[in-house]
Amino acid sequence: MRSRITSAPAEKDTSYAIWRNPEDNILYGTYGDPKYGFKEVDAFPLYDLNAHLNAVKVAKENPEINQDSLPGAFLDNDLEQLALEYQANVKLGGRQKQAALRSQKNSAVNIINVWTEVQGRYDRPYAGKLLAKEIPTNNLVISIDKITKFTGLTKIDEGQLTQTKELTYTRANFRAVKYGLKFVISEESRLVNVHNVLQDSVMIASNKIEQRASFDVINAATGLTSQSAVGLWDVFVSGTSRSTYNPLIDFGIAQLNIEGSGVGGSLDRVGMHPITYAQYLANSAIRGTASASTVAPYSFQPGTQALVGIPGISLVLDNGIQQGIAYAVSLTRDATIAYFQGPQRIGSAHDEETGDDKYFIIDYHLANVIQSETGRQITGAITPIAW
Amino acid sequence: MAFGLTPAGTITKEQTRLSTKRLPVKASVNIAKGDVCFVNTSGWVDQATNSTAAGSEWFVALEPANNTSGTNGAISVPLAQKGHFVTVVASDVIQPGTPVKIGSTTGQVVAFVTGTDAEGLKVGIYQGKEGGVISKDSNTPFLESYTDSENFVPVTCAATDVIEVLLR
Repeated sequence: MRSRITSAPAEKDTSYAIWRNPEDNILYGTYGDPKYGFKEVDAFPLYDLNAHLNAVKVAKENPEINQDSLPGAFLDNDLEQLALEYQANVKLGGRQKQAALRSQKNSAVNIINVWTEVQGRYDRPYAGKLLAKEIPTNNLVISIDKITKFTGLTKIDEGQLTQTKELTYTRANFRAVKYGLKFVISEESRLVNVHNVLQDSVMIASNKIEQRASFDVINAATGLTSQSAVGLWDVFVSGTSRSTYNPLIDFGIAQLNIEGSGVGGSLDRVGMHPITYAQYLANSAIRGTASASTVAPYSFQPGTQALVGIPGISLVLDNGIQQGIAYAVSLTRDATIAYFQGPQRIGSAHDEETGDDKYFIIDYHLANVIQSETGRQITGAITPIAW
Repeated sequence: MAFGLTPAGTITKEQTRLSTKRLPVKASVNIAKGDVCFVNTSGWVDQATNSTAAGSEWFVALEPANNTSGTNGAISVPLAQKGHFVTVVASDVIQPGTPVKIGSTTGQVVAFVTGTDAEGLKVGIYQGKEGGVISKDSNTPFLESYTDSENFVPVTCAATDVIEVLLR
């Protein structure tokens, strides 16, 4: 009885069939199908399975044994060379090469190495949204009530009655706006591309919501009451490293304006362009004049951090904010700007005919100034420079 | 910034994606994706120019088709036709909602001049530019701004802009 284990001729010079002889447990090669025995087709020995199993057994018992000291199982030099070459290819080419080599059809293809990390997927942080207080809404319409305080105590004469005063409420209504993004992944794109197009598309699309929200909040902030800076923060007294104007004064004025409005807000968040902030830090009122270094370590990465020089005020850096403008807003109490986040919906549809997969994101939101008295935009803070 | 716009020669409203045509290309013609084309009297697709006869049926190439060394009909090109919302290249400033015709640049469009141009030269109507675009102003204050021309009033396009037209 013979048992055939494989007969897959791959190349011309090795196009022989391999058989295992159960009598001696040796693999034989033949150039024809043996019908009655190995001798009739001049079978030649290739590999000794006994030696192979013995080597496996010895290696299991002595895991640290040197592989070269084990008795060899190859009985054919050509096959041994082929096996060594295969082993070397696998080590060199990694998993892709191994997969190709194990394939009966694709073992001759060239291997293209594609770095698994696709470049260009990530986006910068869109931090402008953090200038607004995010208010989630279940539906599209939200109303905000505002109170107008009555004025204070008055001096009264004996027997005189005081004037009656009454609180007044006003209601402002806001309605979220609908935004949408739809993307399609064609059948061809899916089948041709070696990347996960869906995963990449979803990742990129999700960034677009933050992007849109950030620009919408900044756009709302541009409607805040303007307050001209006392002077340019990046101007120095001629021939010195001493700044001409002090930016703290500008924030001080903004805070006085905001808190002096009497509606209860407090300046606790400031937003500006990264370059504006770099100039702010380089101002001698912030860095000091005795210091030999320019400023504390600085990062142009958009995001939030503490505003150096004024404890308690957090800073939002975003590229979308115009250079030379600093938005001073109240966030935690009597928020200046609200970002109403309405419902979000995502979905997909498959076109059976074209094979396209379509995905969409529907987002309802609105960025709006809800308490204009508690915000200011300081203008003319620095001279914008090209970037 | 690595934000990509939709290229010319793309159907933008998916409900109009079906019913595209594939027609044979004239010899020695190199059609770019997004070129406005027409079918000549012999039945071969050619790039439209400002001397293409008024009343021709206008198409937009959805793929490039280079037949510079081929004979008539050696290759074919997929085309958007009347009723498709498709992107083309503008070669001049165009106001939104304005009809467009072929300008001096082959395969590209300019504004149609009502009362002067023959009615049959209208290739389509300019709908708008792609929205959701971030761009940075090259002049002071170098502001990075977000343009939404999808939901709001479409903006005027400039030369070389890729614009959406409704083919007529």
